[in-house]
Amino acid sequence: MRRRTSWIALWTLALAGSASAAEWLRWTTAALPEAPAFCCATRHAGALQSSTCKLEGGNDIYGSVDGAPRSDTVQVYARYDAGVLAAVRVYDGACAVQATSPVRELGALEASASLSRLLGPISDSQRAVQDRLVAVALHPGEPALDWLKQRSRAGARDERRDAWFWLGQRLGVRVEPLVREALPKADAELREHLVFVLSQMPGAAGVDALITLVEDRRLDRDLRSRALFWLAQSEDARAFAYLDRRLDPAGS
Amino acid sequence: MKPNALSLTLALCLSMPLACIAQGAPSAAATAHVAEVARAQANAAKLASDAARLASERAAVEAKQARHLVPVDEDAEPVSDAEALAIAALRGLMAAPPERALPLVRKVLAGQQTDRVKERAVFVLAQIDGSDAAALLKQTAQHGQGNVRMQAVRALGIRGDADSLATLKTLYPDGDAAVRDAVLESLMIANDRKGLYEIALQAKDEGEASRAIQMLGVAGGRDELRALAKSGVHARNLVDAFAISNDFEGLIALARDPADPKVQRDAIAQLGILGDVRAREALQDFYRKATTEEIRDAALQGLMVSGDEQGLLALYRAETKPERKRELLQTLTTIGGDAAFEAIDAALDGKSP
Repeated sequence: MRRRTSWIALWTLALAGSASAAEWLRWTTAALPEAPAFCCATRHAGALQSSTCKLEGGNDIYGSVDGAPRSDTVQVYARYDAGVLAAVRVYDGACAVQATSPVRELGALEASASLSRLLGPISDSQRAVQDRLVAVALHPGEPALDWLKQRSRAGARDERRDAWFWLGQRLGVRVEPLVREALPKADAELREHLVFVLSQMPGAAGVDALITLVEDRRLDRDLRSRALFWLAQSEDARAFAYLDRRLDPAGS
Repeated sequence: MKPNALSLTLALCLSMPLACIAQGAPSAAATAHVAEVARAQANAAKLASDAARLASERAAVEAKQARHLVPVDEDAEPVSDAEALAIAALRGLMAAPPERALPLVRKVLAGQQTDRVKERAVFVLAQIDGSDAAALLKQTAQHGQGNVRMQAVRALGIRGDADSLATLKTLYPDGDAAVRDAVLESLMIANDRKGLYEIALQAKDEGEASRAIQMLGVAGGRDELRALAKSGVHARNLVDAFAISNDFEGLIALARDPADPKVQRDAIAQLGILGDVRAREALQDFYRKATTEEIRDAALQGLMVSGDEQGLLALYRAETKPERKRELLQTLTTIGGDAAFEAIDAALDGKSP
């Protein structure tokens, strides 16, 4: 009986949030403070210009764009097919969006309500999975963070990678203990990505973490090599100074 | 969370480095660094793909050389029982005396059999000695149709006698693109370097010259390629051919010749494909003595393709300009960085480099 109740609840939720396959649902919710503002851009003579986002595609760039309008909200567009999330886009609340399909307005939602619309069943489309991850990552609060942590462990390969990236973005230097815990269990590809996540930690932390990896001779060469690569790519003067000291002790 | 478009862009670049370049970077602040990483990856990818293309071209042509003429669709299923029967019969003819085999082959070629069966007949015909068989082959190469004709053209290359080669050369000027390509391939199979040289020398456009020069490279026509280089025609096509034929002398001559800056840069970069000690030393030398940034970049690309980590490390240590040091370091770590690790581990052990 309890199970039946759950099914009814899910069905009701699906009906409430669902739309015909051609219809988008739109709502707004609070933006994660200091998160990149997602909008669109087009290329003009090699330069990028902020532009209106086209929901059905045709944007040159979809992502964080310099000069795009900013607000303290995000707008979420979701399309459901028989209760299954088929497509989702998230934009800054001030970003202009254009749709050729009908859009049903749901108004302003609490972060938890917004998340519950996103965290239901999702289609097999990799794009949908990827876009949902971005949308959730831009939601404030612990539930979104906890969900990212869960996907970093249980997601499919690409979803795990994306989840780790956004965990790094949200946690800053606090991602390091999580990465260190995950490294021994990760496969080769994810290990490389985890090194990248460390490299993106703010301030000196990223460089310090990479140097620690490079100097740890218990680690395998591939992992150290990846750390060395990102160290060499770093714009941080300390990274270059360190490498120069190690590679050319006579000259430095 | 700090806005970090750079991270996002890098993540996208890591997933799809070339797509990243195509898409452009979302943040102008991040553009320079991202572009730098992407450019390094794109360069590595391009050079690797160039090297892979050359290797695959060489392998493909060598494979054809090795098998000379492939019995048609050996592994493919015949489309009908009648066709299978005809092909089996032709296979049997290969062991038959020429006087018995030739009339039957002639009959098949003149009859209503499918192209697949006729191509098999040409294959058998190519194995039959004697002037009558040679004449029939020549006639099929001159007047045949489609794949049957191409098979006959290639068979002339396998025969490789003076008359067959002369026939091939008469087919070239008026042939369509497919016939011309088949003739070039046949001349390569016959190792007729002089014939290929003449076609390359008289080529009316770069595309035509490029194909002839490529075959000349595969045929190992070093003297002919060098003669073409001296003649000054089609120099742009020679770079790949020298690389394919592993001709250090030919390539280094182009690399040292500033007459055409693009050819010079390409030749320097392609030295990396040779990858032997002479090429590596030459690349280090080009880097050290470069008078332009373009030459230095080409040398750096060559060093990257050749995987010369020790050379890069030596250049790094000798370099005094920070920007160049950084570039060398990034190249070194992009190709793996074993030499860098040896230096780092030696430093950790307190040893001198």
